[in-house]
Amino acid sequence: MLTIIKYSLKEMLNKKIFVATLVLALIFLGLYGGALYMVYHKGGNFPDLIIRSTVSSQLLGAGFYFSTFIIAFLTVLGGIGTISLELESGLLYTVLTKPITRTKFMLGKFTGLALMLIIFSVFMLSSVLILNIIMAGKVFYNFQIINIIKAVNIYFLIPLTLLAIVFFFSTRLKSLATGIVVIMLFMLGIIGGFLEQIGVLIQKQELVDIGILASLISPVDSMYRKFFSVLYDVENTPLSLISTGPFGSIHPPSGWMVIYTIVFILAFVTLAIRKFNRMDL
Amino acid sequence: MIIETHGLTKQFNGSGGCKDISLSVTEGRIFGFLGPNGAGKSTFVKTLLGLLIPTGGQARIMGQPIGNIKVRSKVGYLPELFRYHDWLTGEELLKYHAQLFHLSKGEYVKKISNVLEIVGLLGKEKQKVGTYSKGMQQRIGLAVALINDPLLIFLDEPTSALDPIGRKEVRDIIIELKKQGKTVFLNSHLLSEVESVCDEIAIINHGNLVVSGSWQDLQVGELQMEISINNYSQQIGEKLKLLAIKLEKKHNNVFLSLKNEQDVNDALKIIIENSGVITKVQTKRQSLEDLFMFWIKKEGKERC
Repeated sequence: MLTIIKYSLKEMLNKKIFVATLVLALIFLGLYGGALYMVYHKGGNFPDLIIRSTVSSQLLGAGFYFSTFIIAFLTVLGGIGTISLELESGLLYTVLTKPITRTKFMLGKFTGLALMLIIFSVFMLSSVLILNIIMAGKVFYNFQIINIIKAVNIYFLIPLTLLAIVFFFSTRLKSLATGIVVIMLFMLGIIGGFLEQIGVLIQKQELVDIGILASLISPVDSMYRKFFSVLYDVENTPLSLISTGPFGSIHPPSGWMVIYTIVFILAFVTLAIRKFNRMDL
Repeated sequence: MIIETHGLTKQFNGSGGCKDISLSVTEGRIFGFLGPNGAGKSTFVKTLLGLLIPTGGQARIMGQPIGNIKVRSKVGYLPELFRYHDWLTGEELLKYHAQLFHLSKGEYVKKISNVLEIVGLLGKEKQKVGTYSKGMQQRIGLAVALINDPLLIFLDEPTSALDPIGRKEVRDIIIELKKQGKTVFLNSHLLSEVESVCDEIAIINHGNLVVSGSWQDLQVGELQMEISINNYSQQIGEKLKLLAIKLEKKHNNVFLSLKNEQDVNDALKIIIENSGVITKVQTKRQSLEDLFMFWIKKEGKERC
């Protein structure tokens, strides 16, 4: 299984989609850094510390939110190429006649891709965070290390959820169809997340319910909101109000949602492996 | 028997594929699996290798049921539709497959240069597989199939992308593998390829096994004999006519169609006893093409 993990990781790094994503991510970070500079150094003074911190949290949230989009698209486009296309092209014939079970092959592929996505997520999150620390200076919210660690671990569930969905559909649909379905599910989660936040803001329970339902189908956005709320320690800090906004979390998901997402990932991977074991190649 | 199948069936929604295939392959032999395009040859091989899940019957490879993980470490496979990780170099690809076989570094380093030499890719191993020509990709595929020093090698149309020189080289590799005591299961529709190397053959058509056995067992019909005779006489001709199914004469050459090998001796005896001087004798059995067409037509008639 280690060989499959190693080569899946290596394969992803060699993919054009990875190189293209990396280049675009660097362009995004450059533009984002430029925008932060304009706001903090050329945008005039915000006399009120609370307002300044709120602006800072929104800018940080925007950075994280768009990084999530980049990570999500890399997960989907990189993932479908690795499983569906290999199945379609017959690349697996020589691999799956080796002394390795299909289960170990799938787990190896998942682990390899997951590791790469985790590394990429760490790169994106730390880049956004560092840019904010450099540009915002003392205005920047003083995060606790423990909260950063907890939040980042929750954040990893975003690419892992998408990857699990990719694996699930890769064993059932063609690569293009898999890509479309997973992106639609990702978008469903995003829209659901927005509806939930708006529902809380305007106190419309129906909107909140729709948002929760969308989160259950695609818990990606919920994990983003949870990540942001944990980062700002919403439950314990009164100042955390500054973290609300379009990219923050007025109504953070509960701890149960994290458990639900972990079960969701395990269930989708298990179902993908189950299907793969029964497939004619 | 290194391969044994009993009624092995793989069909797709009740049709196509291969049906009720029972055959056995002796260890150390080259087994040719023949059939027209779409006959079910690749389906059969993929089922044996565990890539397709059988819908009926049983099969054993090296005494173990198909899909046995341990057996796979002794099996090599070159698929018909070969496609490899094009972002790897030839050497990296072989290393990857060697690692999948759990070979140690010490084992695979030596083995990689060995198989590269066998398939004629030594010096090209640093090139990316994606830059290889189709023929080179088939060669690297053959190298992949040999990397674990297998006891049993499945070659599915191994020369489909090769030029005549390449085909000859692959035939030589197959013969060399046999000399090393390995068993080769050769899936092919190129009859000349099978004819020149195989000890045993099986013919499949419309998913059904038409016939299987050794070369000699499958020979049917007449034996052709050409004899060059000095002092040919009418007496010789009349006696040979009684023996042969058919006789033709052109100058000093007599062409006979005989029932079996025993008649060869009798024909020669007739000529010698009647003062004929034999300068040349040549016998010819049916070519594989004749044999193949015979069995395929026979199966077609039986189906009707």
